[in-house]
Amino acid sequence: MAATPLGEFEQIVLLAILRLGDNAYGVTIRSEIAACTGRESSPGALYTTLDRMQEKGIVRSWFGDATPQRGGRPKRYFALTKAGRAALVRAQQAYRNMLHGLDLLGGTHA
Amino acid sequence: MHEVAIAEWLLRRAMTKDRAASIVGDLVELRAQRGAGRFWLSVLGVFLSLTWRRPIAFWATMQGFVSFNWFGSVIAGPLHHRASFVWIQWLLAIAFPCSALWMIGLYTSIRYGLRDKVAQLSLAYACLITIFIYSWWQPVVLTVVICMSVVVLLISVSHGEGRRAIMATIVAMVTVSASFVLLFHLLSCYENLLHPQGWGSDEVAQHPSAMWLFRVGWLMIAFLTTKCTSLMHSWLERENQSESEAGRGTA
Repeated sequence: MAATPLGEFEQIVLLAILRLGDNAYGVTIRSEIAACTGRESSPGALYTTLDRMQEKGIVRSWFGDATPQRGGRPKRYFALTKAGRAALVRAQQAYRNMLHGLDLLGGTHA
Repeated sequence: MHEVAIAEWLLRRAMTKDRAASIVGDLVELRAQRGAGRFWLSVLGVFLSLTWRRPIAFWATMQGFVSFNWFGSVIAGPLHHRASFVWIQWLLAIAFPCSALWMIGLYTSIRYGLRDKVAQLSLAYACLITIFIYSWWQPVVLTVVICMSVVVLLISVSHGEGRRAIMATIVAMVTVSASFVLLFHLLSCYENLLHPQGWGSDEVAQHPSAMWLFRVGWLMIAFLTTKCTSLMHSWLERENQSESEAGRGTA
């Protein structure tokens, strides 16, 4: 399949999900993005992106148990699928290739 | 907790019950830190971002239907003296699938974005057929349109996703075109029943029910287009996903 390239925000969300491991749901994904990028993503943009990526088979989701501090509502956890991981690797490889030979991050990337 | 229940009810208009409950649960967690104002702003933000595309895409689909009127006026207007009767019938026959492609293309480009394969394919062919209808008598334009159609087709069939996008587009186009033909046939039968001697502006004023029948048909065709295209698009996504997973399994 000729996969559609990932957008910048999609890559950020996927990386946040990977960093969070088993605890990746809406609130923690937003917090992780804010902590790592200093960027406050809107809930609308985040959930739309997650739904779109699930439709494309890039992420999968499942519901956890309901908890009292959430008013008895379940968490929806996210994880990358194999296709999502492969798409992320391709996108990051492209960035790495573009950085090759540049002294952009305080050292030449070989 | 009434406001949480109201927020959940609102979000359920745009998604499944489970998803709405999980998003509201997330926003309830945030409310403890950010307050009720931010909670409602977030609820409205999520609702709008998940729903704005559908009504606009539906409206655009309805506007795509209007393109058939343009084609009709062009074919029956300035080109009329250049073309034989048979050629005009052919052009009108092409105008049906072309309008269907405009409707499908406008809907998919708004609903799924311009990077979507069905949107790209349907808009490309809608543009090429429109150019053909408007400029069929110019040999250069005709040659360029035919060559570009072949190029677009070859590019699409060269990979699996493109082939499935062609299949999805053709199924949607045939369904919508058939519903066009059915609507115009029913409308013509109804008009003959009311006034067999032919219709002018006086007859339209005397029998507004024919116009209402047309409007209802217009709405139904737009609905059918969105439904059929969404179903074919879901099938396309599923097939692409299975092929992608199977490819990695065998690699």
